[in-house]
Amino acid sequence: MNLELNNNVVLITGGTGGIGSEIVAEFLIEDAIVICLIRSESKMVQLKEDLLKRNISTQSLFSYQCNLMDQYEIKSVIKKISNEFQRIDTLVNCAGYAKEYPFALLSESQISNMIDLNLKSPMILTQAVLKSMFKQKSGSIINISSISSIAKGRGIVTYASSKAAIETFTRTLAMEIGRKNIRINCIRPGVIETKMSGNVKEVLKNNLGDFNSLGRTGNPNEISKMTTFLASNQVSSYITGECITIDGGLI
Amino acid sequence: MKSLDEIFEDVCEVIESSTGINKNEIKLDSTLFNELGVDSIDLVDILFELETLFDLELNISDIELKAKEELGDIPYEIDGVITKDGLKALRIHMTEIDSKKLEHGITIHQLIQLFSTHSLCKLVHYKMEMKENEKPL
Repeated sequence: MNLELNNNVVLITGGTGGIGSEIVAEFLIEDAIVICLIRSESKMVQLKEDLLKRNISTQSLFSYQCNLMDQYEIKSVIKKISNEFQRIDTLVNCAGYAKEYPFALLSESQISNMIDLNLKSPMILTQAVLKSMFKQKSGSIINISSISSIAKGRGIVTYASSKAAIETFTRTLAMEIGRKNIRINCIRPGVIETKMSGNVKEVLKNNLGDFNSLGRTGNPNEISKMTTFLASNQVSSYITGECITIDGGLI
Repeated sequence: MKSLDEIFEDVCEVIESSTGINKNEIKLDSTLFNELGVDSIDLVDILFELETLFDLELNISDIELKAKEELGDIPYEIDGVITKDGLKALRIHMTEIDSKKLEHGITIHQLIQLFSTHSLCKLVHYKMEMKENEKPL
């Protein structure tokens, strides 16, 4: 299937993480131009090394330092990127933070930080890229949510709430920007093999066979392939405001 | 620098490309929301297009910029309602709006409904002037 993503400019947050790095790889395989918004250069160096080991060229991979907790920095970095690359075709909001902790014990700042990173920063980033997308009259925004938005679980109240909110953000914004040929969708991964899901796997290790229909955890590339699918106007041009669950039949 | 008439031509083209409204149907005094049927997303789109065309930074809140600037530290609005001083400044700088409609109690949201093609042209013209004045001699 030709997704026709070659030379598309793709912006991604959390691109050095478990799922994010696979999304970066997938877009590079599709010959897109990938720009990572990063916090530290060291993880980017590691990502490039890992990609090269897999024979994936990093020639079209770029990075900009950006503190996602700072709305002014987000706006200024996006402006710089729009000027330099002249367009932004896709935004993938993949950066996220989860920590299991009883809600009753969370401090105000812990709640704020999680809401800011998981909800506010994708909103500000979306606002910033919309300017380019309005001008182009095209664009695709993909938010990476989590199955916790609709599942039950202890110690994840704030994280789960922020993910449920990002799904509502996706569904409602789709109505506002659809007429300008800009699509926005969400992917809701289940338990995927990454460092971030380590605790969940540990808890499930003896019951993996029963916990979902497929009886296994997911691979990051099972998320990344859906991301390129949703980015492509060639194959998903009529999909917007949608949240796609990829959980091996957990829910 | 372009004249107001030339800017009007460009603004009409941008409105046509953003909304599909035939540019020949757009008049200088057409109100954007009520008469042309532009909605808030269209207005954002129109402002983005004008930014590219004229290489300017434009915001919806800039439309009343001249009036706000004249007020300096005097509040232009309180809790979204335009103050008496704000209305006075608007009557001076936004003459394209019927002064009878700028009555006490009007909110910023209601003011936006009164913006016309002329308001957009004046905004572009004013921002171009500002940019010209910023240029080193």
